[in-house]
Amino acid sequence: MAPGLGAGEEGVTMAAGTMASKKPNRKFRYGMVIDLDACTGCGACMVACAAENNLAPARETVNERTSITPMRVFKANDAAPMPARKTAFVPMMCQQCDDPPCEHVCPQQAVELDARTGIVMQMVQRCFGCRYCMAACPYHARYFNWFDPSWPEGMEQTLNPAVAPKMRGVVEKCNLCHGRFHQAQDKAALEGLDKIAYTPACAEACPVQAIRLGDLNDPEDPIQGEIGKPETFQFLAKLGTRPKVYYRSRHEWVRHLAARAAGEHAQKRNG
Amino acid sequence: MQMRAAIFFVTGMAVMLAGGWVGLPKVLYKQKQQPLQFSHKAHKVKAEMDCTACHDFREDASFAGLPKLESCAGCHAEPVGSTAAEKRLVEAYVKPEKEIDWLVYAKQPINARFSHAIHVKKAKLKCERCHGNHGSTATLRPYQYNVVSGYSRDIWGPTISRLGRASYQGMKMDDCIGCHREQRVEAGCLGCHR
Amino acid sequence: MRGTSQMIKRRDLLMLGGGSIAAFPLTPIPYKLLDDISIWTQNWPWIPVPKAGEMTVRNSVCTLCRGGCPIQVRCAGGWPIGVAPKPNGQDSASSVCALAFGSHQLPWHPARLKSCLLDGKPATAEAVSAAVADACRKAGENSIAILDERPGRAMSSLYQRFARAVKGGVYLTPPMQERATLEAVGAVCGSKSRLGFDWAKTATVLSIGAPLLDGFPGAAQLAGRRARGKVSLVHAGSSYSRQAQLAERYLPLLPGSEGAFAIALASVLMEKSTAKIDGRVEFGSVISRLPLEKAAALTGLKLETIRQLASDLTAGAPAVAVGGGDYVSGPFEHETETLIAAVNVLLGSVGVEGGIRPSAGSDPRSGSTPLDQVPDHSVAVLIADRSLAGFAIPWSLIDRKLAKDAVVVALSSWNRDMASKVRAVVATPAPMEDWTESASAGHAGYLVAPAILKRPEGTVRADEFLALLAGRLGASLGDGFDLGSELKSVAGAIHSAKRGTVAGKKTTEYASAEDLWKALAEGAEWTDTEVSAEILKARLPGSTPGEMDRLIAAVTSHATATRPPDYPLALIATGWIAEASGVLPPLAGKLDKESLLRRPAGRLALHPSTAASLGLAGGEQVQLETLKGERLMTLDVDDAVLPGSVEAAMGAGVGNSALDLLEVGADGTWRLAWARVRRA
Repeated sequence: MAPGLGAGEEGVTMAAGTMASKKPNRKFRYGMVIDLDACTGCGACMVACAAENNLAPARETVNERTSITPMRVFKANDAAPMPARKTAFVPMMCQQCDDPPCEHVCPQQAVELDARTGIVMQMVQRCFGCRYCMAACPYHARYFNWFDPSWPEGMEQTLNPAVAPKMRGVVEKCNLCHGRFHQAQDKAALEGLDKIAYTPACAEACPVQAIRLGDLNDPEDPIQGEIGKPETFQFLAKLGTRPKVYYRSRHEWVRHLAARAAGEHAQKRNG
Repeated sequence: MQMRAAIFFVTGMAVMLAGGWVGLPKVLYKQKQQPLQFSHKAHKVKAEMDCTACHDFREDASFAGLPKLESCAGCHAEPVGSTAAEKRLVEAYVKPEKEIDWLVYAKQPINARFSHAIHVKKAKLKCERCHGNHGSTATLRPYQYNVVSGYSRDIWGPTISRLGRASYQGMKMDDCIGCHREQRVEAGCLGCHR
Repeated sequence: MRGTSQMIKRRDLLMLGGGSIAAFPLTPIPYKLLDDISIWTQNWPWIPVPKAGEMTVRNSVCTLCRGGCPIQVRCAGGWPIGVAPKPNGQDSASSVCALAFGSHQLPWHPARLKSCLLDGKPATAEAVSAAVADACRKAGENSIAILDERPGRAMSSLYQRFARAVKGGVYLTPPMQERATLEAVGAVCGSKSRLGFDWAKTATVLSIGAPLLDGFPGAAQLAGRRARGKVSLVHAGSSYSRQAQLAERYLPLLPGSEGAFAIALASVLMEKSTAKIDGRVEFGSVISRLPLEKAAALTGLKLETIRQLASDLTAGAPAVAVGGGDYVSGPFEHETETLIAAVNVLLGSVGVEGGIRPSAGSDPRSGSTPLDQVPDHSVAVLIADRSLAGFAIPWSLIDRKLAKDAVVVALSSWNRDMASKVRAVVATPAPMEDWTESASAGHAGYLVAPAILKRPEGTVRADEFLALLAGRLGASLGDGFDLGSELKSVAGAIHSAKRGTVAGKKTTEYASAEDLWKALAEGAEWTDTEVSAEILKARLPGSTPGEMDRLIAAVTSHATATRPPDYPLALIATGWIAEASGVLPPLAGKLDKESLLRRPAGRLALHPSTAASLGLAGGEQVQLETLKGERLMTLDVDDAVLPGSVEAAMGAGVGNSALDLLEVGADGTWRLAWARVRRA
């Protein structure tokens, strides 16, 4: 037996009853609530995400297809004629589905829905770039590294040590700031805390606190209050991916964005 | 005729086996000396320091890893002993304020995350469990590294077959997984990867 | 056997080979090599590995725009790796926008200059100062001007000292549009106090072209209150900007008709209100010279819309109207601001809670000469501090002030700005490499952040360069002409003024100026809390003879401005608040190059009908042409653009962006320009 090994309190026991744990195993389910009425489309979340995840500045020839924006803010409107048109901004990133299509299709098991936190973790080391997951993701929240990242000379000193830079040929996406989660986990271990509380880069950057992370397993978490409300919705809920990112808006047209877009498409197709 | 063919066949096998089992370890690994010699034993016994004096947790809960020059300079601004290594420390590193470029035996790729905080504080592992008697050695052994992957031989372990390893020999993912399975503690991919 | 086995035959070799191959999978070679090669392929040496280190947090200031927002820089092992907003106990009037989060990478921007340039070639500061001194000596009657786009700093005091010490020296500041409406209200009401918008209590805001949610002072507060449904925003303007998109209502105005809009709105408010206001009669009699229907027609809005707006503003009191123009398309003319001030008076928001009231803070431009008041062709040497930039200005605003053969020196960390226009660039320390100050229009107070990085060898701080220059000119700058001493003086001045708070403590609670300086030096903010007790008297403009005539003339002429023949489109300049800096953080590309959130520089947009009439389709390369020149751009077709106008993203920099296609009028504005678009 390995010397010096104490009772493991952290994590999920694989065979219940084989370890005498003093504390119940804490399982987190990290989720988010994004307030679309508050979002001003400033894009601070996008830049903060890029800095946190060691994304390289765009190449000269970058376009929609080759871009990498784990957090991307989309502009949507109610299709009314100008000037009565209403516009909303929608921050979209990996929806951290509880039934992730990307995990099911990955031939390399490079995606895992973490049992302990609910974070859908992308392991770029295992990825070989088939991009099946990009096709499977209904939210288009995954991005392929067409090129190796490169920084102007000296700028590599500004890379975040909590996140590994990705090389070309792998798909990446939002991991709910796993680097910050790791740091918070370390702190909690040192201080003997039960709760691992951290703020992802996007939530921290938002000037109006439109993005909030919370623990959906914690009945006392502030975001619980938003989940059940009629103004709160999930995108493409009918697909059954059970995303853990919720959105909210007072406006009916915002809540029905996905439905309306599908209807519009049908109209265009059918003349 | 058949005998002749068999002899050559078997010779071929023998050459390949010898090459694989004996030759490969020889050519696959190269060796470098540490830039400076350091005696853990002297610091532990004579200076009565324990591991955490230099290898402790920082304010932000990260592990300090190898200490920076200022830790050494704290006591060794001038030589306190009589060894050549210490003299070199003061002259080549402390005085010109040059960080020592230690070769790290346990270095892992950036995408592997190991949390000392969790393993030391929660799992209550002792340093020796993974680092062996390194903390009691009088000299730093040579740094052996794999010429293809670039990482230290300590990661694979001393034998090419990986058989007969002690608990502190080998730091590949399999070794971590092995201990986690034994202790029935799951970390998931998220727990160990950046 | 004999004679057959001595030579090695091919079959033997095949057997040898066969044996090797058979034994191959029994050796560790394939498995070990596969394992090692896969590790090798995951760790290419050209992919940088972030250096581990202790995570610390340092206070700093974002330098990208005049907002001067306090930020926290997250460092690993001393290197900046990210930016976080600074937790702020009080409602800061500025907000940390997208750009700040990439600002920690600025010192390594590809355009970074680490040594001075003279005539485009690397040079020492001594060589540059020699060349500039030479030009100064030849100035004759012309002036030696120093242009400071962020007045109110300790460095600004040093500039002023330099200007006083040198013969012909003059200290200039550019227009500060974000305060234009407030200053107009102050002028109209005869107030001596510094005024501010009471964003905390306003219920309705009518933004007339003002980018309220986009870096305007108070943006964060407004955005937050809007998110909670506590304030209603109406936007009247010529561009469906982000501000317009987020407003509850968007009123598209024909380009250049903001003054007419203000008159129309004022007329309607006069009709509805019977309140006794000073100057009402005079004001009423003059604006009636431009009938309401005509004014409305000039804006392109239906009269009914304006009446409805007036009702909504009155019902939604306290309501304010905000002008100031846009930070790329520039300020409004003085008369339009006066009319917007009149609207505020008629809305009853002058001097009341939720409206425009005396606020804390002092005018950073006191003691300076406004750039637009410098006589044309009178500046022989211009030292432009571009290290901390203001809003975008077309080069012609500066150019017209320059004498023949004038020498322009830029103090900048980048080799980008004014690149073709300057004789020399003094390479200043980049953000985080030296003391950074913020004394902006955004918040009432002062903030200085210490250096986080070491500045490179060849960089020269502005005061160091000026000292060199003064030395060559034999001008005496007095004792303590260096930033360090001046910063301590600022701390001393704050301490003796006995106003406001620093780091949560009242200024008076600091035993000495030294103690106060220690707090400031770590990045604590001084917030000025003293507000003038003056009771603002609401007054309407028009009492000065000729004032209203100018007003009407200006409004009508702008709105019906004669187009040059063959330039049928009204050019609306758009862009980013910080583009005047010349460089944007590299990661800002996420917003315009890697997504469709913002229009990137080099793209312009036309309404589908306009594009069709020109025979152009989306995606085509086109030339945007004005009387001043042309620029190659890419066309987008967008039905949110007003027919008959073209919206073009100008790009970064002063003196090297598309903004130079715009001519600055005699009234100091460049917001209405005429252009044409043709296939490239």
